Amino acid sequence: MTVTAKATKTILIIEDDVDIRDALTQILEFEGYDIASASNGKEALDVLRNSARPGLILLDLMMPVMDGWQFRAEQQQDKRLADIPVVIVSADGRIFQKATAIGAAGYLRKPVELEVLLNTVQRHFKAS
Amino acid sequence: MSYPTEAEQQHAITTLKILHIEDNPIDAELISTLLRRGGIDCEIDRVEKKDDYVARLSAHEYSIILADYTLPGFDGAGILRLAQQFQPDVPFLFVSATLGDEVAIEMLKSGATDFVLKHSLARLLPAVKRALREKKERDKARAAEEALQRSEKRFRFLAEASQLLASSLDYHTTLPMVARLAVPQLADWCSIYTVEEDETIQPLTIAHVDEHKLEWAHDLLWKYPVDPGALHGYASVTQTGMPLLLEDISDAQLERMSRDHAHLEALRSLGMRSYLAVPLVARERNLGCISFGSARSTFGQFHLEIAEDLARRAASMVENAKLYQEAQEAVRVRDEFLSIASHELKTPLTSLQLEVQMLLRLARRTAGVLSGSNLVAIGAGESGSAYSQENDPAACKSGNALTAEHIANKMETLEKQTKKLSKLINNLLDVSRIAAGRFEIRREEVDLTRVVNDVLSRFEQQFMLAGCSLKVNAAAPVVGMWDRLRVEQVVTNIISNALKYGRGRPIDVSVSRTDCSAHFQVTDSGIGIAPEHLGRIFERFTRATTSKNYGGLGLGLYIVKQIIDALGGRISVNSELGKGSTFIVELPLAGSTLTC
Repeated sequence: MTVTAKATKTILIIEDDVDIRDALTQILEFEGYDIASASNGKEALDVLRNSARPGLILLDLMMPVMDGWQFRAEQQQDKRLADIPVVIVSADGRIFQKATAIGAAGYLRKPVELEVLLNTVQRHFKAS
Repeated sequence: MSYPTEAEQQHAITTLKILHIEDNPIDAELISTLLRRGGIDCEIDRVEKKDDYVARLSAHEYSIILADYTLPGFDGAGILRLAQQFQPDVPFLFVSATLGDEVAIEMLKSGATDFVLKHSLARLLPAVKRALREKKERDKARAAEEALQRSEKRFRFLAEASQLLASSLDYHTTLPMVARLAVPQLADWCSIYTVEEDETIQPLTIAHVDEHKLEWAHDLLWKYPVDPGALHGYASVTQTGMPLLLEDISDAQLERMSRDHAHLEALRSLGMRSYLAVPLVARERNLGCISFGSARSTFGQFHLEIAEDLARRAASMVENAKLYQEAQEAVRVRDEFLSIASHELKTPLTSLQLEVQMLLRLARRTAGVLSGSNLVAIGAGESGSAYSQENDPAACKSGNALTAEHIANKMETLEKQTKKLSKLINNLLDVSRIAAGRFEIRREEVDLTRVVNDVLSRFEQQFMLAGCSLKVNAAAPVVGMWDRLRVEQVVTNIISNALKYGRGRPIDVSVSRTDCSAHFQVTDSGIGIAPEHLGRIFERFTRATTSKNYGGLGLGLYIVKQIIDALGGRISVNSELGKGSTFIVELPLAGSTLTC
């Protein structure tokens, strides 16, 4: 039985609803990822600037204090953070247009399907 | 467009006024007798001299003019000429001793109606009668022609006005156009007042035949706003709902109508010999008023009818514009609500679905593992417990194994979330019912103290979890005729809020009564409510906290208020940011109001 040591695989979840955050965290941790989370864009920027660089960001769009759009603008201006792939999570029907507009690597429509979540994460995660 | 007043018209019908130029009194007497015997009721003015003749012609209106051909001083042609000059439409007959054929024909060509020779006066009566008859026919024809023209003018005006009114739904643009159309066709000036959204009466526009006076007239409207006690204008028209026609305003009347000397001067300058005002009314709702003024001529029935027709069309158009706006607003509110609701419902559904699907996955894996592969059975969450690397590349993190405990925990979370979702849906349904007017209250005997205590015992565990200690003052029964479920909803909502925002600090609950009302009060020492949010806390979709961690749709307190309003009660809140809040609910004990 070999246990493969894994390089840290971190995903940053930016989502203001605590239940959704918890559910996503548990699911992705079970898949072997390390999870960092924030409840709004501002918190997320703090986390990004002070911890290990994630290989993927799951970004909710509607959040207080700093929403997904504002976070994305800030992220793209920071050279260090700009190329971390972002998958947006939203309840909005026009999510495809929003994903294109915001330059996201992918999108997840709420309510999120588990299989779709896992496939999307696997597809877009970029180990650094 | 000036018409003789009704009075003047009446007087003209009875006696015929005849002007007779004749220097021979005997002839004059003879002719006068002939006419009277012939049944013509007349008043004859006899003149001999030119001066008198001219004086009479300029002073009175005659039904018929009789003239001798030859008089000392002036001749037939001259007499005829003067008659043509002053009263061209009046029948003119020569009654003369001599009149050669050529002269006679010449006179007829020049406009004389007929001639009668003095030696055959038998012809006089029929000639006069015929002349009068023909005049009457001519007058009738002309009146008919004029009536037709007036009618055409009226329809054309109203058609044009209708077109203007239909050109846009914004009556702030179309009504001024209509006012301009009315001037000078219908009046020298036209002003329109409308009732605006805030129920105040505002001057909308004024059109004036004198361009130079336009700006001044505008200022006038604003300088002298509607006087509710006035005997003219907007006030009187809206009070009576009837149009007001002041045909001929004397200066004394004008003085009584004005508020001060400056106002009087202004009215004089505006031009107010005649005044007409019609209300704008649609579906028994007063929408405003249109006024017309004339500086020189007078308004009559004709103008009144046009004005009323115009007012009907304008009112209908203004009403349509308002209805359209209201409909648009309703659609907007509904769309906004649907959009928010849809978004809000998807949130708890998301975590619910993820949890369920994760459990399902785990369950399937467990089933797969147990049913025939050489994988090791799942242990109780120790690090390093084995999963086959082939089937599951992810390392197993502690606590994720499918134990009964794990299942129970998960199920509890799921139950909590389904309950939250269910509550949200019920709130949405309530709000939708309220909006549709289908929110019903069913009254029965309810003991408020009992309800409060029941709710508190249901919340027991939550109080513990939140760490809020509870002080209750609800012992004696307080009974009223209310809707039990709805009262429960109110109590639950307020207590739930106190826990949610209570910061783990003590909560005070009390139930009491006065003679007329029941009181329910909850005080917490939690985060409090900022003053700028306090005023809107009972409205839909407002949340006094920005953090969505507190959950909900911002509907709870809105529904609470609707219930309390429906029961005839009152709810109030005192709060200080950072210190806490107190909610006070009052319900009537008897009847449907708080006073008794």
